[in-house]
Amino acid sequence: MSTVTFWVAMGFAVYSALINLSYLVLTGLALADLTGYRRRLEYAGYDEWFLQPNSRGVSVLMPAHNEAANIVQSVHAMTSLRYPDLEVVVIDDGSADSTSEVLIAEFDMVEVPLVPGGHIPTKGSVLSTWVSRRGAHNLALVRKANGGKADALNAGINHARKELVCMVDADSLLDPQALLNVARPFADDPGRVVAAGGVVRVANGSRVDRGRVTNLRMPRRWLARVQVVEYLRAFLIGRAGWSRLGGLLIISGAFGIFRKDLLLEAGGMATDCIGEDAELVVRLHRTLAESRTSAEVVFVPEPVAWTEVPSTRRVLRVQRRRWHRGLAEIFVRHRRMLFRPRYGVIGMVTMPWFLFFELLSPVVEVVGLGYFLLLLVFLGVEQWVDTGLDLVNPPVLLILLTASVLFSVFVTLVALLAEEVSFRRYRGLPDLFRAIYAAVEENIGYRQLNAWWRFGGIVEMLRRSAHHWGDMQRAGFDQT
Amino acid sequence: MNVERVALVATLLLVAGCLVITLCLVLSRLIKDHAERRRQHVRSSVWRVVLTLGSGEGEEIDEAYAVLLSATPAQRKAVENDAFALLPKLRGDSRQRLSEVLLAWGGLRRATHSTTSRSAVRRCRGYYRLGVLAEPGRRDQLLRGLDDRDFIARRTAMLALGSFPDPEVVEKMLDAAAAEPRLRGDFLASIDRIGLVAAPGLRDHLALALESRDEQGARRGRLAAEALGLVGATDSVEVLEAGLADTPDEFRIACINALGALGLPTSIIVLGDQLDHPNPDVRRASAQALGLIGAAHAVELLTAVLEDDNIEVARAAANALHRCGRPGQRVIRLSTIPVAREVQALTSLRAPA
Repeated sequence: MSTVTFWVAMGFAVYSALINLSYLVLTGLALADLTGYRRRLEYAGYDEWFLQPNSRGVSVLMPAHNEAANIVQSVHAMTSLRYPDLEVVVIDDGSADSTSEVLIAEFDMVEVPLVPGGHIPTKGSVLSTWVSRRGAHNLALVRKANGGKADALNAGINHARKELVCMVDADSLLDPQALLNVARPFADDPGRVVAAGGVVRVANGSRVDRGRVTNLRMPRRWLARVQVVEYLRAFLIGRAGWSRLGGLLIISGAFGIFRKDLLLEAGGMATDCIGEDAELVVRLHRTLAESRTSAEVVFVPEPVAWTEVPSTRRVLRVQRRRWHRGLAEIFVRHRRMLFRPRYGVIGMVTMPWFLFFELLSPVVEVVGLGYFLLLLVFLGVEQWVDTGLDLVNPPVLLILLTASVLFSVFVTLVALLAEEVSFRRYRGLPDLFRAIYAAVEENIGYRQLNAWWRFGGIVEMLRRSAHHWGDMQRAGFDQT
Repeated sequence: MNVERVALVATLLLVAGCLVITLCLVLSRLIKDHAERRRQHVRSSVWRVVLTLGSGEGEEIDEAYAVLLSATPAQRKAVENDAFALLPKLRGDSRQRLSEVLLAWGGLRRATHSTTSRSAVRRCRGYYRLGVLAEPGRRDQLLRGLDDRDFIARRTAMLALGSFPDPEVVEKMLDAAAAEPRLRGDFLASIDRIGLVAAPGLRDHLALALESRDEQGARRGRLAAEALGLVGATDSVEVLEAGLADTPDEFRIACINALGALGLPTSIIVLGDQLDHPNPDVRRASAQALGLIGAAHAVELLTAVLEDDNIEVARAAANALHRCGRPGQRVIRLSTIPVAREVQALTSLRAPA
């Protein structure tokens, strides 16, 4: 019996070691790219490209629902992005507040009968289209009946008038150079690159001035602080590593850019899937592989979209459940891609990795946690009653648990080091110590909670309960 | 060694690993923050002098020039990068003076040396600086950069070669861009800076591409056509028009765009013929080109395209009609076709109140 207990514990430890080892490999791959990338940027000729008359136009799509409080600031930030041929399309998805009215008044907009260039069906019908009389007249508003975020994006894709479409969340803030950087791969390899994604970083605790993050600081609140290191590991390291392998599966809905013709061909965003941004990328991979088209989805580590992460457990729980349910739905929908050589690295490496180490990890973690608690109970029982089974060997249990946590801390520290030798966005020792502390503290409580919430996402998917976004309340950026 | 022992050793190793990484993080943060503060301190005073050299007047400039020539190595290092970035933005005497300062600081020697470095970043810096200084004697060094083993260095060399208005350079650049499609944008940016000097060579290559008809030739031809439109080589119209006959669609679109950019009314007939092409991208490019030419006798051709099945082609035709003077604007005003109404509404936004 004690042998069984030991090997089950070993199984969990090996699983944990494999996840962390795979992250170390991804970090190694990412590091090769990241270290030189930033230093090379100053010679990459962005100024020349900015001045080029034939650069490809970008339509920035901003779906908005009840965003009256922040929409003006977000639109100001988007319209002032540095890019030669840019339009911003705000899609008001049936807001109950004054989102449209505020925009119309602030940007002096008038109703214009814009003709949709695409014919992706939408659930909510388009009510009216507006264009700003200010500046370059490159701000449009599409008012439509409520149909959800994906539906709003589809209406935006239909009304976009540029070759490339960039999707951003209405509450994201982009670095001024972000579009120039993220659109660059489309100019480098026009026929091959079909989508590109940038880094999403956490802006909680930092100063925001006129829609720009000006004074980057580590958040003081533990929940936000832990998410900083989590985003760093997932976005900067994970995605850079997968991109290097040619197997980038996810582009964040908070900041991604696509070829419009392909989006129209693919039928736009899926409105019946909660993780529509990731689903779109997987569908693009699938369509392109099935048509034997040589194409690339790339990750650009420097363009940054700043987001405010949830600072309360309630909101975070809703978000993580939704994310994980979205991932589960994608796997159900595209399960035929798994272990199929025709889908290349995506089918043979990325999707299996996501299946075992991302989708199923909350199941393993929750079961592991339950098992650990059970062992503790047995341990307590053995102290008082001689069962003769000798089920638990406390030193071994303690060592395996410690090793597992330490490995996880080690991986996060390596990710912090990768950030330090490449982009170095944070300054000063106090912020560094906060980041190191977050690398440790995320293992005590946060990971277990997160696993439980994600486990809930799988259960929701299995029960096929109705999709709902929940109320994603944010505290707002620290403005000057 | 049993499993328990292995796990213990692994745990101890991980503890050591975490401590080492933490130490590296702290040291790196301390050293880099300190270096940055020090550089900022040195830089602020010297950078003011550099700016005075670029935009000052009379004696101020002479004084700044003298100060910069006697700058210490630390001061030079603190502003050298920014000074190289500033140089292309300056014109006339200011540019000349700053260039002299950078040469006196050994910028040319160091840049040349950097191009042979093992580090791709250093080679990029070397090529970039050679391009900024634009010393004719370093041309061949940059041409060799087109064959560099790293793409980013090849790109930097391509951009840097835009400072050398020389037909031989243009030919080598065209070869490199045709062999590596990723260099297209950089090739065009450089040709844009070189200007009309590039036109004769590009024209010859376009003519050759029309004869060769192979894939590589088509790529060269497409690049040459795009570049000819960009530099405004109006004497290339004939060869560009020849590119509209029986060529791959991308090649054809490049020729159409170039003819539009050149804007000669003599091209209207050949561009009008392309409005019946089965590929909507070709039709759209033709409508846009006709709009760029903007002559009244294109109105009839464009009016027929307003009802094209492809909305982007119809929109391009409506926009083109608006550019064709009063006859075109009258068609738009009277039309009930949705794209025409859209263009009419958007145009009214631009009209002065």
